[in-house]
Amino acid sequence: MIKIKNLTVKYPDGTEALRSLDINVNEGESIALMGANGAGKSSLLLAITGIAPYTEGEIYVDDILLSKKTVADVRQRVGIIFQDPDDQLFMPSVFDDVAFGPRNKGLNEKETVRVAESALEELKISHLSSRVPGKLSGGEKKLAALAGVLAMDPSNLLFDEPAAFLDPRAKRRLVSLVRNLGHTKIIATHDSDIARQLCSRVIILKKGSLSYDGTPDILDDLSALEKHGL
Amino acid sequence: MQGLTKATYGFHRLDSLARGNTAIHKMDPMTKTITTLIYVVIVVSFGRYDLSGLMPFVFYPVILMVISETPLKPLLTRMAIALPFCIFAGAANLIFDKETAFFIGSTSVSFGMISFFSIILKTILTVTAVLILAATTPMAQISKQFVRLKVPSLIVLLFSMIYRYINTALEETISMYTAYRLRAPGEKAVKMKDMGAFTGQLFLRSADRSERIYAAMKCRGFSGDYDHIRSGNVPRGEWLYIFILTASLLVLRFFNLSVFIGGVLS
Amino acid sequence: MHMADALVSPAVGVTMAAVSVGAIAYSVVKMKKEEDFDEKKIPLMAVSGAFVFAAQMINFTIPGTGSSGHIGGGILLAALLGPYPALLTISAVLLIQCLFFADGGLLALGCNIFNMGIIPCLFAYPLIFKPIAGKVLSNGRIMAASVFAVVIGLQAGAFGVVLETSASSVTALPFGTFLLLMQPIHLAIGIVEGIVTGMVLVFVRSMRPEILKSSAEKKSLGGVSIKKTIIVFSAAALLIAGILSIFASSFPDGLEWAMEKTAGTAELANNGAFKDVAGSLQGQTAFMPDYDSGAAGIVGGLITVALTGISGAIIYLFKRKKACKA
Repeated sequence: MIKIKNLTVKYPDGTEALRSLDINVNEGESIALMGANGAGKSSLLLAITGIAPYTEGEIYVDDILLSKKTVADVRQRVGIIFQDPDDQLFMPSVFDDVAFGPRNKGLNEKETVRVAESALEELKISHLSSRVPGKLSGGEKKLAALAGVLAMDPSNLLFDEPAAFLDPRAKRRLVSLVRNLGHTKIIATHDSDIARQLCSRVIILKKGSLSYDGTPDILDDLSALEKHGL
Repeated sequence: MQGLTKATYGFHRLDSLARGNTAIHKMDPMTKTITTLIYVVIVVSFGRYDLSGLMPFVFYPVILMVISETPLKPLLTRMAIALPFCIFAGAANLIFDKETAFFIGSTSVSFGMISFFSIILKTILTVTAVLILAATTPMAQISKQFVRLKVPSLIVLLFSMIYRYINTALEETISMYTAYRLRAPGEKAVKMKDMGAFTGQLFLRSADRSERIYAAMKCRGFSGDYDHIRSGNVPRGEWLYIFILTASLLVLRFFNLSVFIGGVLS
Repeated sequence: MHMADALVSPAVGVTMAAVSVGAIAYSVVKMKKEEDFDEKKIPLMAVSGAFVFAAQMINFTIPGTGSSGHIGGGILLAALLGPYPALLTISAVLLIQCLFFADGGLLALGCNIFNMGIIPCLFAYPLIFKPIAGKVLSNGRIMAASVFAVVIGLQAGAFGVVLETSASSVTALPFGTFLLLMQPIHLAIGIVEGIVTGMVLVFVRSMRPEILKSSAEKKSLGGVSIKKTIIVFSAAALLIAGILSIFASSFPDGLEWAMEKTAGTAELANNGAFKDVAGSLQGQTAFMPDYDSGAAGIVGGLITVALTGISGAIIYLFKRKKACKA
């Protein structure tokens, strides 16, 4: 569950990435976050994980107010999957990468192995365990990155353009796997297929402000999309 | 620029070799490192004219390569990297050390020739020994071993991550170079005056990537230290292997098998 | 400039390894102690290490020579990351090059870390680059600092190679000759590499001034009087450079040859100039140890090699047979 109240994100040079944004994402809900390039999608995702330094407003994750004190706790509850999986597969083998989070949590080796293996199993990629991340296919990398996030056992998942660079088959596989995850999800995407298949609700940002919040039906209405800057 | 492409393939090749399943692969990485180091030290401890004493040491890489099913080709490519400077140092011996040491038949063999061949042989033996280590031990195990050796976690993490991102950096370099070549068709390499922008751009891309990696690490609970990798101990049976191998290497070091065999025959 | 195992004796290898381990441990402590140490630096060091690895493989054409060069990266990394992180990064890169690419040996790793990491990062950068670059960075100062620091760092590194190889006594090449072969070559390489290093830093500064600024504003390493060291260093460097450049200009072929050599491309030519110099100095070698095993030893050695080959083949066939059955 993610609640955003009056959030404004400013970058050091003064440009506003987000302006007084209010969004509520309910438990188990899956929303598509859309908007033109530079509308503020990535800034929002980073703000929720406490990485983009936000200047005003409040962010609640599972009813915990994000602050300096709670940021470590919040990050355990939010998993983020970046557009380029190379950015988050930073260990020398898939297993070690998936185990990175659990080890940081302080689990013992037996627990770590169990958690990591079940995350790999959930995404049906146990066979990749000993592989080097750099040499996987795009789809495999994406799933390995997701497994690393799932091993942290977060209740909320943030995706940044999940289907980027995937071939159609890998995309279908990812969609069916993600659909089965019961987490609260925010999926930032330009891909209306993904939005339709995975989300019951669409939010469109325009120049840092909320422009649309409603059903995915809008995706078929080109003139309405045009109005929201898409 | 072929070097770049070659490097990516070389890397990939070693990695897939390291995932093999032979007796050598199953051995504890510590055992392999200890024996490799002992072997390298004993090989280079031979004096510069002691070629005959060195020759029996061929047994170690040959037997290990066969058992571990390590192919010859990656070895040859690595030799091409290591040999030139050694040949340079060895060639000097050919020139400066012309005094005859002995005759084989009617051909005179100079001291320089002996020391030249002993440098070449040492190069081949040491490079092969390290190759076998790298080709039979996956990277993740190598870092675990560092942890065992009490290497600071900062360095272990750094080592693993550099290894991880070399391929990404090589791929980025190759695609930038391709784009460069398309706009400068006549050039056989990057022009020196473009190097600042070319290499600088590459660095900035890396720096940007590091920001995202950091964000991903933070999201998974990273707090500056990563001393959570655990590893077991060297199995008892392997200590025996280390002991026997070291003992036989030491025997070969001080008992010149070649002279013995040569003496028996003549 | 990577040294192979075959060129070092165990004593030299172990000594240099100890020195390097000490310097690395010191750098870890220093880096963690720094007031503004930020764990954000760890991923930056990692990708920079990978970057330097790739950047070393970029060939560029040197105008007017027809030959090509490549960069080393010690000073570059020190300027981008700071000296201690740079040393750690370079050491990790050297270890990877040794393990996975046979570029430098395992026993020689300590020598290589010393020549290519400790010298540029912990000596050339703080003692030469920083004082010249100053706190107020300008493009001219960055260029000058890069060229001087790389040239002197490379001269010292090449000197280290000569010293370590000679101390290992694997080559009959007299110390002086070896030095006269190595230093001028690395002077030329250093100038080119220094210019490119400067160009990269100037570019990075124009795009992201904050990256260079943060390492420039750091206090310089305490203890030594930097001014004095600089004066002594520069005077010595100028003297060496002067003598060597005279030598280099009378020795153009050797220079060309060794430049290609370090790029790992040219074959070992029976180079005229090299032979002449070598021949003229030949009289200096007198050292001749006892050697008594003679021809019998070599023949016996060949037999052991053959026996090894045969047993290897037997194991191979045995394994294949087993694999077929399975």
